[in-house]
Amino acid sequence: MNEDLISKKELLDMTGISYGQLYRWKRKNLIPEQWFIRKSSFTGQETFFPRDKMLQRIDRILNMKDDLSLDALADVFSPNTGELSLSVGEILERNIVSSTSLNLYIETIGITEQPQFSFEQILIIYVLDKLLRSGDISLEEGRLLVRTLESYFPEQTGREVGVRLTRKMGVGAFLLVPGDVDIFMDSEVRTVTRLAMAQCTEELKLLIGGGDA
Amino acid sequence: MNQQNNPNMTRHNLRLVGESSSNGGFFDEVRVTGDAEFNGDVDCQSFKCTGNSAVDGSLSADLLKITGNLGVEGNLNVGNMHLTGELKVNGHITGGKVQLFGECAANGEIRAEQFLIKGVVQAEGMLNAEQVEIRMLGSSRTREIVGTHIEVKPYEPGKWMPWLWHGSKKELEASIIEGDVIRLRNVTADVVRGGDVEIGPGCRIRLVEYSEALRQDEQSEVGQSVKRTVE
Repeated sequence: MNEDLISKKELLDMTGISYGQLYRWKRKNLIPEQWFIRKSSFTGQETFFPRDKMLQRIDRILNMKDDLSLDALADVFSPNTGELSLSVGEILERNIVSSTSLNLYIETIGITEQPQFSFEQILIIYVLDKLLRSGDISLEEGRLLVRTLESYFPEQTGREVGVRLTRKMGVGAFLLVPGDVDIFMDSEVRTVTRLAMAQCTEELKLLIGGGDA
Repeated sequence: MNQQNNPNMTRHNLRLVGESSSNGGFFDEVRVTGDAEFNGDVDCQSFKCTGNSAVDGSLSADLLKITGNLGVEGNLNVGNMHLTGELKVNGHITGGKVQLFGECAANGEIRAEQFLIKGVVQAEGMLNAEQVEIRMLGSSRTREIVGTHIEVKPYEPGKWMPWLWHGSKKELEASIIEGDVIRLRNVTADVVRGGDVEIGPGCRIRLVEYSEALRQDEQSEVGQSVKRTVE
């Protein structure tokens, strides 16, 4: 692991949170167990965290904790997607994704009669919608994205996967990178866009959950 | 497990008297008088037992009241818990308010809003609670105690409960204790880190790190203490 780490002491100093808060959030599963990295040092055992992920997470918790209860926050951060499902009508009505993206998805997958979409499917449509809106991908590439995600996500890639679109000499290719780690490619490969699935999951949950409140 | 998805599922009461066994399942209220064995997961609103209960699986209950012994092979998940006797959990203990009088042994983590025990605790994993209060009646051992408010001291049962004096030393051994407010007596620990820290008599701590205040009793040993300054 070459990830940049932050020690617990430094984290508490930087963010101004207390031990109590840190462990309360851990208890409520706002901070995943895997982020607590234990290392022994000459002053005893020390705990480290992945710096960027941890600082971003703390920042989001501090910003959202006034509006949402800790349990609601835990749902947002939880990688589990639950049993939620929505119909085409509900998705459009609540403005979760655009109809263009939804249609493209339905057309690519070739569903004819299924009226309900699982969270997983909505997540894929959400990612598609995000990339289409940003203008980074074409409709054709959108189809490719849907097919790629449908076949590997999340069973084989895990939920903490990064989605990258690369181009070399005008030919696009999607990469699914488990763990969203850095990858190295030859210099002619351009990474057009990259997304973290875990973050998209959070965003989508907020979007869906926010509609309920 | 499919039953969980059905909100309209009717839960029945279960009453076990004498020496009996059950395959577990979903219940409203479970009452045990005597010895009961559950050969599977138990999920119920309330679990009340006078005697011994052994669950060969996980136990979930909003309310748990035990006088006697409870053994759980899997995880124990409770809202409010009151136990007088002995608790043994092979997995994790997750709870709201956990009140124990007696012995508590967990192989996994203990997570609770309040963890209050008079007696002895043995925890292999992390003990993490908003409020940790341990009144020791014997020798306790934990790996890590973390939380907001942590208080560990010997229990003085008084003259009216003399049988509680079973001779073993009232002390606790831990590797790490971290919290905002820490009050310790008769504790041997490697590292104590906190905001407001009080190291009382009978403590032996190798390293104390604190950010607000440290009070150290004369009858305690602290190898090194460091004030953590926040820039």
